[in-house]
Amino acid sequence: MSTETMLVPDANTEPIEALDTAALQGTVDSLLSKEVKQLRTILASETQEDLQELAQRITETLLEDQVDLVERAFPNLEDQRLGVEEVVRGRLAYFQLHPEERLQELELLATEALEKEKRLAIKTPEEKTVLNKATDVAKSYLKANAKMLGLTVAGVAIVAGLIAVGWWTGVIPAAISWLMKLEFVSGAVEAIQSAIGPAAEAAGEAAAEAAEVATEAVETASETFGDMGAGAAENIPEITDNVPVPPGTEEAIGDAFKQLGNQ
Amino acid sequence: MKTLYFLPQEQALFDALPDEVKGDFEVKTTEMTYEDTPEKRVARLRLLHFENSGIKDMQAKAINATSEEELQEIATSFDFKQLSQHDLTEIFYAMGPNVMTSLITKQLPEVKTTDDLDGVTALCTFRNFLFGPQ
Repeated sequence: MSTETMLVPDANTEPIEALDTAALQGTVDSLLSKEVKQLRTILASETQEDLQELAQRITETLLEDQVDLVERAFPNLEDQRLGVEEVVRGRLAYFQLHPEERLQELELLATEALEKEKRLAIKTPEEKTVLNKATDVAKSYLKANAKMLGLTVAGVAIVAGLIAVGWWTGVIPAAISWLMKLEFVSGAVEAIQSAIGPAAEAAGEAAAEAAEVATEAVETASETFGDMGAGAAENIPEITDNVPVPPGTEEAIGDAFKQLGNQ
Repeated sequence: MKTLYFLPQEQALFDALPDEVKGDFEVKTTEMTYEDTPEKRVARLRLLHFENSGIKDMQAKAINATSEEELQEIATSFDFKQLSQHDLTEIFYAMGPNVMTSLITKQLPEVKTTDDLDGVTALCTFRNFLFGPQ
C-alpha cells in the first residue's frame, strides 16, 4: 500500500475532486461480482498449472479493472489518475514475477467467498423471523449508541470502501489513525488495523520488488507531477506512520519522489 | 422469553445484571465455529457488498475525505435506520467473531434497561447466526 499511497501527489493536502459516485458504485459492484465469479472458477481448477494460469489471467483482468475504475473515479484529475495507473501496473509487474503469491491470495478469497455464502444463508423460516426482529432491534440499538457501536459499524463500512476502491489515495492512513482514536472498542479497532496490515505489507513488498517498474513510472509521471513530487516526499514520514512496510521501502520511495521533485 | 446466545465467559457479565432487567431472558451457551485471522479479515472486508445506496454514498464520501475529522463527521452523520437486514448482516460478517465479541462484552456491563439488553441480544443473535454452529 505504501507505494500506492506515495505515488499520489500530496494526497493529504491537495483537494481531491469529487468522485463520479454513480459510475464508481457501478464499477465497484461489477468488479466485486466479477471477482467472486472468477474466484469460484479457481476452486474448480484441477491442476496446479491450471491454477497458475488462471491466477495470472485473473490478476491481469482485475488490475485492468482497477485502472478502469480509477479512470472513471477521477475523470478530471489527470495527475492522480496517471500516478495510480502506474502503481497498478507496478503491482501487476510484481505479481507476474510472483504468481504464487497472487494465487494464494485468490485462493483465500475464494474460500472465504464460499464460507460467507454458506454462513449468510437463511436456512429456515424461523431463522428468518428471528433475524428480522434482530435487525429492527439492532438498528435502534446502533442509533441509540451511535458514539460507541455506531461509529464502529460505520468505520468498518468506510474501511471496506477504502480497501475496495480508494486505498491508494492516501486516505487509508488517516482512516487507521482515526479508528485508533475510537478507544471505546480497542479490540475492534485493533482488529480492523490488523486487517489492513497484511495488505499494506504485501503492497510494500510489491513496491520494493517492482522498483525498476516504479522508476520508469516516476519518469513518466514527472512530466505531469512536477513540483508536487517534492511536496509528496516531505509527507512520506507522516503518511507511513501507521503503515507497516518492509525495510528500505520508504527510503526507495522517498528517493524516487525527491528525484521527481528535482526534475 | 427471549434467548441470549452467550460464550461461556460472558455468562458472569449477564449474572451481574439486576434481576429486573434480565428477568425475561433465557441464556444459551454457544461457541464460535469460525476461526478468525488477519488474512481472513482482509478477505471479508474485500467481499463486503452493500445493496443500500445510503451506505454506499457514505463509503464514496469517505474516499474523498482528507482528514480524520472529516471521516468521523461522515460516520456520525449516517442514519443507521436505513440499513437493510442484508447490509447489517454484511457489516457484522465483515467485523468477524472477535470484534463482535468485543462489542458485546463492552456493552453488556453497560446494560441498564430491558431495551439495552434487547440490543445486546440482537448482537448475540447475529453473532451466533454468522459464526456459531451451522
